[in-house]
Amino acid sequence: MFIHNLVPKHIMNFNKKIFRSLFALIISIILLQSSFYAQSLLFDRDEFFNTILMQKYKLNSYYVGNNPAFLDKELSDERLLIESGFSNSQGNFKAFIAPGDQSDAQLNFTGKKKISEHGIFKGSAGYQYEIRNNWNWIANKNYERANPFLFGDSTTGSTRFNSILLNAQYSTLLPMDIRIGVSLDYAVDEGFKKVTPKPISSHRDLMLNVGLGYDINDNNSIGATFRYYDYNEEINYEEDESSLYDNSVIFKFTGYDYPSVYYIKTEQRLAVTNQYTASIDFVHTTNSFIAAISAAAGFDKQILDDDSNEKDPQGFSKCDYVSAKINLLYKLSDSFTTTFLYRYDNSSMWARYADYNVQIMEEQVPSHLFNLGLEYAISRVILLGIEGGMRIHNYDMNDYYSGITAGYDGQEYFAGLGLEYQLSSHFSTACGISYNKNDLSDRVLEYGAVGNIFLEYRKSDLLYKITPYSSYAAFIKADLDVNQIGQITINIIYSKTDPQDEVVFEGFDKQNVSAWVQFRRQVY
Amino acid sequence: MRNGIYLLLIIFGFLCAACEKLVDIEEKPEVKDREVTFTIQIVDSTGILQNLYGTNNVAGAEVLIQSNLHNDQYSLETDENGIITLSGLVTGEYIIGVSRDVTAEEMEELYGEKLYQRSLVNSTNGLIELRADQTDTLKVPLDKLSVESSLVISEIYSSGPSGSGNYYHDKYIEIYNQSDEIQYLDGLIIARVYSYSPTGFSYVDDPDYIHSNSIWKFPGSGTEYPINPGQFVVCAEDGMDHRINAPNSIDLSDADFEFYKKDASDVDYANVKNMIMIYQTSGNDWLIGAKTDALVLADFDSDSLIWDDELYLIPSSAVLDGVEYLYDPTELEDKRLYPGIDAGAAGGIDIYTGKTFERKISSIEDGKVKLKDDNNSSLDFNVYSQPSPKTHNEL
Repeated sequence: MFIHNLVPKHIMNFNKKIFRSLFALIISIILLQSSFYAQSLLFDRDEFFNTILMQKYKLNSYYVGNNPAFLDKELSDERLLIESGFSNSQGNFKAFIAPGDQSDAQLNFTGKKKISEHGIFKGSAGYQYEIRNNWNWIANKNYERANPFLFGDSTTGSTRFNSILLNAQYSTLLPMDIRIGVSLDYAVDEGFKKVTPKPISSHRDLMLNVGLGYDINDNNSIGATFRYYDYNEEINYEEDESSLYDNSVIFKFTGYDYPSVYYIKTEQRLAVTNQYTASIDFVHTTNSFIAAISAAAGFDKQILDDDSNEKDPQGFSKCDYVSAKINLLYKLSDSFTTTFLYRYDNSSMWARYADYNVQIMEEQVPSHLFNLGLEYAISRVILLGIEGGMRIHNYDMNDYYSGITAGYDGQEYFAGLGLEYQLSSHFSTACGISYNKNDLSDRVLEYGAVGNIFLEYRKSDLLYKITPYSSYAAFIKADLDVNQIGQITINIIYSKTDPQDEVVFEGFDKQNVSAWVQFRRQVY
Repeated sequence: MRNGIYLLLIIFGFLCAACEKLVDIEEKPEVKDREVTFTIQIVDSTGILQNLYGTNNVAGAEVLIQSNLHNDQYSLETDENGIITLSGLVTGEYIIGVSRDVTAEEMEELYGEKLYQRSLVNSTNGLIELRADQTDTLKVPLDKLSVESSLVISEIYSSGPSGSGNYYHDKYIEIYNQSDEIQYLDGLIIARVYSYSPTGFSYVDDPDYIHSNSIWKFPGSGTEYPINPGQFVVCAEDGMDHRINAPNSIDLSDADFEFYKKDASDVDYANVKNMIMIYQTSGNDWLIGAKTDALVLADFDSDSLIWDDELYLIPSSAVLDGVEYLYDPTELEDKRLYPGIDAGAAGGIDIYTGKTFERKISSIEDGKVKLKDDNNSSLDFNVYSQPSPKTHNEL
């Protein structure tokens, strides 16, 4: 299944008036910010390229707006898909509260079927096993999220998570040819730390996407999506036999420093995060040109309670998101295709006390990404792609509670080269390499005389954030389609990140490897 | 075609509007933590300073403020208007202890005789909220004329040792003589302050009596059991070397007294003098809470105790010292001991940790150790990682 031609088949008149008004609407709804969650909780793998090779086939409303109303434009076919993946990340170039190494394995089953004239259904079920080794202190699964209210204990050890993930998507057509689609994700997991005091964390994710869409004509479509994401985390410290012989120290962070320290053996943390997102997308397609525009705005809010009986409120945080994206593709000739991507993201988090209307932390992370791509068809079976670009990004964090300020101005440059080679109608392969350099200037890390022993550890979390780095990455993919058996696809991505700071993380690095196998077979 | 676009936009707009109505969207607070200056005014509500100087403002008072979460302590002195200011503090609850010495001359002017060791203290309002979003001047009244006791409870070890399962027989209470004269323990009472644990019901609001269901007294009839200046006396649950049973425990075989309950399966260690049980409703030995409890040392004739509703009453006026400790010392609303006796609470120790509560050392002059006694255990006590019977962890 190697797609070389773009989807559109007809050229229609493009209504510039509509385009202008829609563009104005998109800009006007940029209220807040975003690093929104992926389309589905299942198999959320990073893409190697931004715009070229396989990525260009995702220039449609389903992917651009994460809009399930355009489920028919999702790239998979109606065969059963079985995916199995593994990834591992390890190295010393990390935040203190990040695990020393992290591995996960996942198995998914996915099916898609057109069940009526306009109705399409896609369903997935997956199981994930994740283990985090040498993980310091923190019991929160999403410790990387901008969250000043981390919770944990004084031990370092391994934690494993077992997750079940389900996704169902359905799209159909309403009267007046309005498309509607719904995507529902449900995931549950339980995390268990092997070291006393053995906190057990359980999580429940529920994500609902409701999409609307309308095909203005054969070339233009518009869509809107609403997303509700509900994430619950419950962490329990309970007294067990082994805790009789150990003195537990439980930390409750409110910022980077000055955690509340409790010499207790039982405690419970309940964190509820609700995210609300609205987005709009517009895609214009001809056989030589695609313009895909989307904008999204939303926020999430997190409320924390401790102690299952007392429900002692601990804190509140809110993160606003804004995201806007313009993605262009122009086919210069049968051999040359150019791509352009601009993406703006901004996330703005603030946190306050549960009981007082007093700000304890705020963090701003805006970024502008510019990406240019070029594809050249060397022959009918060999496609060469190159892309490069830069990302201008900033980090500005004020931890009023701990008296700490951190920030930087960042310029990230990246370049990649990829090749697709279709050896036969049954076998194809692809590979690529990329280089990334993240320069940071005006780095700031200021802390007053308020720090204590905890800052000595968590200072490295901040230093990690403001350390420039470079990385190399490579991927290889092989795709074999045997009529009688099915289609097998193998993907492997490797990357290595080296810090560019000569003092703090000298000699450290971080390596990631990710591999997954897909098997597609006609079973219905 | 346009109808479809308009319909889609109408639905989109409607849903956006509905979302804004349904979802509670909070605004970012304008006030930032640590960027506010707090003002606290200390006022006298007893009328003593009004009578002496015609003002309620307490100048020259010692103010000790301690964060309820981080143990940060701030020691200040009020200005001529009775005011202190603090900046750079984290918003939250703080324990405040205020003490203004009333000199013998001032007492003479008021009462006609020179009375020593008197001070004005805040027996209530021991917990204040300093919040950056409310910066009005906070008033803390001094509501009690306190008399410094010669005998104080210097240590309560109640948690039990670590690493020995449910072993808890090494508990003790320690008394210290911080006066310059010999004191006598004969007939003094050690009592637990009553609280009904299932509901937390207590007589915390009774200023006149301590309600107790566990009362023991020292033996002797007058001057048989002296305690010298600077001497620590240990009253142990069991006067034995507990390291035999629990390696991380302590040797209490040289304790001065032990609580021996002869009507139960308690063991009497012959080398240690026995306390006399007056009343205890349950248990096979002297029992105090591992994490939460309150004890008083009182000078009162045990024959004069007042019987009331299954409990004995001890007049508050007879109390020499009282100490409360809580599992969560920030939860002062859970107190059982009248704040006029102990305005705060020590605490924060879990069971079977081997940790202990010990009174802080206030000063050491010419080898004489003075322990802190502001009748506020939140400020007067520290938690130490190990017990120190008959001495102090800081000595």
